[in-house]
Amino acid sequence: MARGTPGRTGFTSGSLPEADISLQWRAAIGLPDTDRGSLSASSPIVGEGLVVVADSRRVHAYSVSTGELEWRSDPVAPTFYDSLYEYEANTAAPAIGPDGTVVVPSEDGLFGLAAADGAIEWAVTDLRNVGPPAIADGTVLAQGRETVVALDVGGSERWRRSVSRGEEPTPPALGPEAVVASTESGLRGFDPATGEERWSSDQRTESGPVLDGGICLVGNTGGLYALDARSGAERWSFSRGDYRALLSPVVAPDTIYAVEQPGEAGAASFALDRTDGEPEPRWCSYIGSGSVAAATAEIALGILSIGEGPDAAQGIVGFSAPLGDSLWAIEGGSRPRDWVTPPAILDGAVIATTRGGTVAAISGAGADA
Amino acid sequence: MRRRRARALGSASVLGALLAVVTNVPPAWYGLPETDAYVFEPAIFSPLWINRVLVPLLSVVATLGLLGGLVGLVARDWPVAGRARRWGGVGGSVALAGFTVAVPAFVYSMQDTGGNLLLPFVGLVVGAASLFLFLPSVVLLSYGYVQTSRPRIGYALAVMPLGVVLLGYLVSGPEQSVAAAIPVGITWALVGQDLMDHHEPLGSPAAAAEG
Repeated sequence: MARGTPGRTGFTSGSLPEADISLQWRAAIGLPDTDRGSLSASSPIVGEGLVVVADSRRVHAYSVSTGELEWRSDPVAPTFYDSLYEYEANTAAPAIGPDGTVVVPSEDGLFGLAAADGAIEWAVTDLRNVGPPAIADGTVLAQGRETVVALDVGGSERWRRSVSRGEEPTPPALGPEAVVASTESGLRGFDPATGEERWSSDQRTESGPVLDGGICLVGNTGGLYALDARSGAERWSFSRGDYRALLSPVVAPDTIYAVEQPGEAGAASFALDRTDGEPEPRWCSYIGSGSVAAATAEIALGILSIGEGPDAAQGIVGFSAPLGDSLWAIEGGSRPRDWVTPPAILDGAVIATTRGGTVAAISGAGADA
Repeated sequence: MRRRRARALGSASVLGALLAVVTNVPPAWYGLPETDAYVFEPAIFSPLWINRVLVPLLSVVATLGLLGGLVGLVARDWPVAGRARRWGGVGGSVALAGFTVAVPAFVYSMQDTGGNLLLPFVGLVVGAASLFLFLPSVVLLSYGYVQTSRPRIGYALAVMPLGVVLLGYLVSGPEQSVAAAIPVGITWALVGQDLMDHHEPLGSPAAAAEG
């Protein structure tokens, strides 16, 4: 699912090559060749031997080992939104359940597609503008514009709550301690089994909450805030100063990555050391403008725009976790259709898509994707 | 000047001379990698820590050592020195004292990520003023010491600025700073050796003949 875990940490166990990467395969969804077109590919999702990518009309599944197209779904209108940030996708990513069901967030509800052929198996059609779903322990969690709903993987509803969300389809986070959803005024925490509301907070987030180890982490214009997932009480906060928003946290066991997004300047990637509990700055990248989007314990993947003006090219840079050295880079391109979306990490490989619909598997030289 | 004090200040001068060279070696020599990120708390004894913490600290120690050597030279010879050596000595000592303020101001301003503009401003102003004072002071000192019975200090002081400029011009790249520091190191090593060997004031040959 998007950002690796139901808690949306962006962390993936396993490893990535530190050098000598090579393209294993490349495929094209075949979106219209226009930067002004409405179709835009989502982040890739990997599971059940498939790489699944949505555009704003349908869903495409490729073999993870060969890149061959396995199926295309009927039109289901995956949720599209106009992201402010180059390092985000414009189309909400699906998720893959434990039984292989591909759960698609849509403008018109939530759809469950069969992993074998992409046929629609179930649908929840009373939701609107649904954000990327989270799946854990047989529970599918999704948030529409006015509702948070928990289903089983067969699409049967377990509970739902009215939650008024902003325009962006911010995804909820799912953990054993809580379900956390963002609202127009902040956050709300629910019991994952019953949906009973446990707490609310006035901490807002554009990039969505992250749940990890009993902590709910949010980034906003005030900095990073860690709330107790069970009670919503603030555990710690971290700020770089006024008007220095810290957004899109990616949480690894020893490191929290976040992007410092001043209003008037480029976005700088930060790594914060969390080995002693509260975070301490570890490094700040000199390279490009963008955000860390995914990480293993050793390598963080940043989506960065490097250069200025029409020559600026966007792509993925692999940073070493200890020192922030750039180990390798995958160049997307300068046109918006060449911008890379947050990638998926397999053990030893990266699956990446561009907004324009190129899907690629990159791994260490000689490795199997 | 008492022998023990002259030896202590001479040792400080030699130490300062040595550190002036050591602290200017190219960072790659002790393994500093080209980094793509600012690392906030480098591990102790790592190349980054050496570059960020140890070298700046040793730079301050080096400047203090150079200052000690010059103050020792001026204090020892004050009773017999002429105007050139006295004015040059005072000016040079004040300039080196200025460098001891400017060096840490620059160091901490480079490490400060909070956008504090006062420290680099102080470092720039004090450093520039010290440099403007130091150069004529060295000329006066070299003129004064060339006329003493042990003129090699004077010759070293005279050649030092030219050597800094010449080596800085001839050597390019990362080794430029260490090459330019060598004339400074040699000069202050000579000052230190003279202090360690001679605690009595250094007069001119004419004065010695009269004495």
